[in-house]
Amino acid sequence: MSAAAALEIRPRRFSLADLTRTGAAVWIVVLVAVVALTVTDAGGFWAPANIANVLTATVVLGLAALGQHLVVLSGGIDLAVGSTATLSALLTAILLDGYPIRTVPVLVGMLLLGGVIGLLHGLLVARVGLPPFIVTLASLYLIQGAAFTISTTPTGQVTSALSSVALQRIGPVPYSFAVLVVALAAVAFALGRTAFGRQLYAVGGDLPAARSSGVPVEKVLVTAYVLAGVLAALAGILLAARATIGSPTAGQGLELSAITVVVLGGTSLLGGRGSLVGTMGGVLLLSLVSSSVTLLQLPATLTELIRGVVILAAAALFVAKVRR
Amino acid sequence: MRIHSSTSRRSRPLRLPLAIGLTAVLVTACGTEQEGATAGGGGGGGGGASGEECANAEEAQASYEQAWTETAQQLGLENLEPTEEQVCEVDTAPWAAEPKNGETYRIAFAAQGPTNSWGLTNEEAFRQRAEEVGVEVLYASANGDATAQVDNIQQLASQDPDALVVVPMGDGITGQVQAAAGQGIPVVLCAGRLSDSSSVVSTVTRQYELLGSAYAEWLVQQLGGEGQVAVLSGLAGVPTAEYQKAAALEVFAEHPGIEVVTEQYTEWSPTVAKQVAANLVTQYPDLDGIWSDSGYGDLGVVQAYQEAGRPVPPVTGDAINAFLKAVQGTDVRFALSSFPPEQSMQCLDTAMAALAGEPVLDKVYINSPSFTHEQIDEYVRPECTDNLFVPSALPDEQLRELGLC
Repeated sequence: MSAAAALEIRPRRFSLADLTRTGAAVWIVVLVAVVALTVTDAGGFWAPANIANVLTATVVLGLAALGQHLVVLSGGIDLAVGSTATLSALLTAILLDGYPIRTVPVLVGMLLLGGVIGLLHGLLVARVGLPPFIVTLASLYLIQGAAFTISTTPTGQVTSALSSVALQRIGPVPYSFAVLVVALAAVAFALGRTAFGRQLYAVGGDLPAARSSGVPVEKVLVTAYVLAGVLAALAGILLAARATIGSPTAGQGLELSAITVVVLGGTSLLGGRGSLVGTMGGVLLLSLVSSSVTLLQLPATLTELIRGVVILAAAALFVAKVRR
Repeated sequence: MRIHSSTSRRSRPLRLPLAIGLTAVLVTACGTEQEGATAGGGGGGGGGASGEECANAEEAQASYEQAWTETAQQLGLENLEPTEEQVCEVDTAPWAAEPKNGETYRIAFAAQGPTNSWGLTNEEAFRQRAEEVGVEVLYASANGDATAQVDNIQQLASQDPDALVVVPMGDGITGQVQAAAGQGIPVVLCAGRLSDSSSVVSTVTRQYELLGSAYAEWLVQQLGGEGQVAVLSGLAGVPTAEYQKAAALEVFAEHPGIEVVTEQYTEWSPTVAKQVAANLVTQYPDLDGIWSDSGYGDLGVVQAYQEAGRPVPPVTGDAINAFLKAVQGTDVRFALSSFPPEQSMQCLDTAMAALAGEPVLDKVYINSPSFTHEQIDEYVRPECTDNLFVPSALPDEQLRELGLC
């Protein structure tokens, strides 16, 4: 409020901090990367098939990141998005087992499963008062353990309709990208146009103040974790669809990538402040990095290094400039 | 809150269309039949030959059985029956093509990645052969992860290579392999297989069943058909480990005098194998033989028995230099064969043959040397590192460059 008022009274130049707050900063890095890739290999990079690769890579990560974004805004963290996606991917393939008639019940069941996992996280955090880091770290191992108990090997089979969603594209746009767009629109609506959105910022920004001004803190927190669980389960369904079978390691590492892109987008890990635009920029940036390693035929050993350098550079340039 | 209630009010009229839409989806998406189920395990579906007549069956079958015969000779085995497997010739005329770009072929290689010395040697051998035959390599590394390989294959396929060679990291890549093949790219599976390989031109690999059975037959022969055997497999759920083990257990089951007293996993790690073997020493003091699928595992076994001051029972495994160095000059009896990393060379050759329209086999089961303790001096490489798989097909100079010698 006061910052907005100050802006109206005393116009000043747009600073790096503003760029980060609005999530524009990471898009500048994305732009630089796109220009660099265009200069290096315009034909290869802009080929519809390559654009499709980049967009495909954004889908699973983007869904997980949307959930992570909500939880981080609330001042928490969800380390279990990767294992939830894994469990959902594995169960999707096992339960479908190639029977088209099972598609709808199984997919609905997976989203419910994700919701229940999120509900448990939310209750443990909001009601019992355990730190989100501990709660979701424990459930990361519990859920991964459950997945390994179900199967240690890739198994099951998704239906051809489901796999075509993940594998087919129209020009440069994969079908699965529509799933991300719809989820993004839903989350943007929830954040920007609903009471839940406003309350989420309030809870993440200053929980005691939010509580004393009558915000239903518990309900808001639980909702954030439930949504994160559902989105992670959806990411898992798409993982299974791409692989056509279920794997007990499908979503491993997804939680770290999701946290990475949220931070890259300028969202504060302390909660209460962040932009969806920035998070999506982070998703695109990581997807560009991973697909460019193959496009430019860089040594495989460099993949992780490049990722680390990009994160560090983005953080040093933009994130550090923001002071609460 | 206000908004919540207002959205729910607004959504009420939407319920009917929503219900209709959902029902429509349910009806359209609902065949009650299971879609083309894949046959898990076994030898994999035939590359394009299943359901059709098997072309040039006799010659193809003979080449398959030759790998078994040679291994049996090298290990001095009297009974080594090839597992049932149909190998056929594939007509590659539809794949025959001129280079898509310029004058050289571009062959995409979806590799395991240099995560260990096997992966490192595997891709070096591929690059070397590519240089020899004058083709360009498009490379992607999965770092041992099937999920990463799904992306790799998509990325490689999008660059429209002339052919794609994949070292499969797991069945999870099946869909992406089918998609690449559907795009008109001939795919060769290399050093591994998929349970549904119907879309690929050929699968080029050392046969898991051959290794597992040969080790088991050698042990049975060493023990004169009677005794207690421990089965030490690599990693639970990994095809390389499970297929070999299954084949071994089948052989042991045929010999009523052989008792498999325990089945354990060593994670292909000397440290884990040593712990496992230390337990074997105390729990099964009368153990007569150890079936193992890896030389790294055997290293731990030897250490555990030596530390306990007990004679090492006969062991089996793949030929890693570390094990040979450790047992040279001892009286440890062993039979080793290999899952050679250099098989990637034959994978490339097969892909090139397909592009030339020459006939290839749908399953190319490659030959590689097998040997016992009697020939250790021919194979051990004291001047090379522990991580070298012997014998290596790469020249010494290249091994030195890779830091393996």
